[in-house]
Amino acid sequence: MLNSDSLSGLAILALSFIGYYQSQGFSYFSKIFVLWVLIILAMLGGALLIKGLMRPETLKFWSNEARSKRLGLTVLILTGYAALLPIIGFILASIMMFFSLSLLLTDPTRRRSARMWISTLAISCIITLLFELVFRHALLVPLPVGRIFLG
Amino acid sequence: MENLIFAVTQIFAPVNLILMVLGGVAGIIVGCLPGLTATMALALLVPFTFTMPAASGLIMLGGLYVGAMFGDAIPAILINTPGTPSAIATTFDGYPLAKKGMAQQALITNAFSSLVGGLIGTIVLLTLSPPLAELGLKFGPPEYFWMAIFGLTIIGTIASDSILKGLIAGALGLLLSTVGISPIGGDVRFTMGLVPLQAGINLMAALIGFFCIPQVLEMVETGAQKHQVIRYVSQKGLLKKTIRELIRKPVLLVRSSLLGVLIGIIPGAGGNIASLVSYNEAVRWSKNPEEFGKGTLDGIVATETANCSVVQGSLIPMLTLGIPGSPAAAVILGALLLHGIQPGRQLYTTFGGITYTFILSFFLAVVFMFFFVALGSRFFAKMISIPYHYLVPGIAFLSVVGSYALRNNLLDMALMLILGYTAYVLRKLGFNPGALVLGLIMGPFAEQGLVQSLLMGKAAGSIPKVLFGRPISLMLIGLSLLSIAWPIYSAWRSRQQHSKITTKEGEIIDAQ
Repeated sequence: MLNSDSLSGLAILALSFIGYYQSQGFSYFSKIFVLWVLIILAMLGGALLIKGLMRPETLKFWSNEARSKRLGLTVLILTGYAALLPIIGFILASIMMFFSLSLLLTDPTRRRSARMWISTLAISCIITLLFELVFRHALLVPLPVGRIFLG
Repeated sequence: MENLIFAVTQIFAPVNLILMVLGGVAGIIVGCLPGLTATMALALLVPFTFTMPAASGLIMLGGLYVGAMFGDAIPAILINTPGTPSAIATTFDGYPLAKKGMAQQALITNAFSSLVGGLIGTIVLLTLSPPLAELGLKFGPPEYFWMAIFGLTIIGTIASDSILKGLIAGALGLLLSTVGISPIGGDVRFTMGLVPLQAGINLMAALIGFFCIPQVLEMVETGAQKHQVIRYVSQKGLLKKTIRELIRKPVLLVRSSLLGVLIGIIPGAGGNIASLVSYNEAVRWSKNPEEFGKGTLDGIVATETANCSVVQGSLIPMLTLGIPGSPAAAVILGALLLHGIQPGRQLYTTFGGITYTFILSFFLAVVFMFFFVALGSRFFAKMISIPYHYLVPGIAFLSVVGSYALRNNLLDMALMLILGYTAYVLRKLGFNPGALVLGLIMGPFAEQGLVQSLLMGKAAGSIPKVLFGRPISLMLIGLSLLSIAWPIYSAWRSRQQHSKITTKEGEIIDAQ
C-alpha cells in the first residue's frame, strides 16, 4: 500500500526542481513562462504532499497477479511493436502485434483450439493489409518498410 | 442575386452533388481515424481539385472539411479516442454514454448538433462576415493570453474529483507545452538532445497517447467480463426520440454554435478550444452541472455544435481578409489561390458566384452528413460489440499507426507510447488526463500571449496597462473570474440546499 498523494506530491516537487535547474541556461523571454509554470507546479506539489501527510490516501497499484501479468505482457507487446516497426516493417510487425495481443486476451479455454489460432491469424493479416492499402496507397502515407527489406 | 442563382445551379449540378458526398464520406473516414486530421486530408485533396472547375473543387473540399468534423466524434464516443483534437471534449460525456449502452443516442446527438452548428455557422458566414472578421483582428497578444487562461478555467469543471490534482495535471500540460524551441527567445528547451523534439510535442501524438493507451491498458486489466458492460442496445424509433429531445435545447444549441463561430474567427484558435470553451459554458449554465462528465447528451451538444460551427467561423477572416482562422482554412486558402482567386472584397464581387457556391454548399453538405451519420449511427454503434480480444488490439493498432502517420516519424510513435503509459499511471493516481491535455493545448497561446504582452508593455512603459487595460482582455478576465467562482458558488449553493433538506427532514422526524 502506497501513500499515493504524498508520493505524487514529492514527484511533482522533484520535477519542478529538475525543471528549474534545466531552465537556468535559458534567455529571459524563453524562461519567464517556464518559471511561472514551475513555481505554480511546485506550490501545488507541496500542497499535495501536505494533503497526503494530513489525510493519507492509499493505493494498491497491482490489484491481482493475473491482471498484472496480462498488463505487463501488453506493455511488452506494444513496446516491442514500436521497436520492431522500423526493423521488420509495418506488415510483419503489425501482424505479430495483432495476433499476439488477440491471443493474450482470448479466453484461455478457447486458446487451445486450432480454429481460434487460424481465425485470429487471418483477421490480423486482413486488418494489417487493409490498413497498408488505405494508408500507403490511398492516403499516400509511407509506412515503414523495414530495414531488413531495404538491404 | 445573380451570384446566388449561379450558386444554386452549381450546387445542384449532379457532378457537384456527387463530389460533395464523396468529399464528405472521405471526411468522415478521416475524422474517424485517430491521427489523420482534416487539415491533412484537405492538403491531400487539393492537388486532385486543381484539374476541376473552381466551384466543384471548393464544394468537394468543403464537404470533406464538414465530414471530418462530423466523423471525429465517432471514435470519441465509441472508444474514448478523439478522431481529431477538436473532439477531445466529446470524450467527456460521449464515452460514459456508450458505457451506459447509449452509444446510438450519443451518435445521433453528434449528428444533430453538428447539423445545427453547421447551419448556424453557415448563416453567420453568409450574413455577418465582414464585421466579425474585424472583431477577430482585434485579438492581440494580451487577448490571446487571457483567452488561454479562460480556457484553462475549465479544469475546475473536468477535474471534479480533486481540483488540486486537476490543477497539477493542467500545470504539467503547460510544462509539456514548453518542450521545443521557445517561440520568442528561440532557446531549445527540455528536448534531451533529440532534434525532432525541437518542434515540440506533437499534439495529436500526445492526444492518442493520453486517451487511447490508458484505455487499452484499462481494458486489458479489467478483462473481458467487465468490458462486456459496454454493449450496443438496439432501440426502435431512437432517431426521432433523440432529435425530439434535442430540439428542446434551443439555447444550448444556439449558444454553442455562436461560441464556435466566434472562436473560429480568431486566427489560431481551432475546434479544440471552441469545443472546450463551449463545454465549460454548458456546465456553467446547466441546471444539472453534476451530470456532466458522467454521460449527458448536453455535453455532446455543447462540444459538437461548437466544433462544427468553427468550420465556418474560421473561413470568415480567410474569405474577407485573407487571414485563415485555422490550419484547415489555410489549406482552403491555398486551393483558392491555386484557382487564381484572391481573398478580399473581390471574392464577393468578381468571384461572387464561386464564393456563394462555396458558402451555400455548406448548407447541403451538413444536411447530407447529418443523414449519413444519423442513419449510420446504428452500424457505427455496433462497433463496440466487436469481441474484446479484437477490439483492444484494434485500438492499439490504430493508436500506433495514427501517431506514426502524422509526420512519418518514429519518435512521435515512441512519445505516444511513453505519454500513454505515463497517463495510465497518472489516471491510477487520480490525475485527470483531460486537464493535462488542456494545459498542452492552451500552453503555446498562454506563453506567446504573455511574453509578447510583456514586450509590448515594456515598449509602452506599462505592463499592467497592456495586460489589464484593454476592453476585450477585461471581458475575458471577467469571464475567467466568473468561471472560477461559479463552481465554488454552485458547490456552496448545493450544500445549502442539502442542509435545508436535511433540516426539513429532521423537523418532520421530530414532529412525528
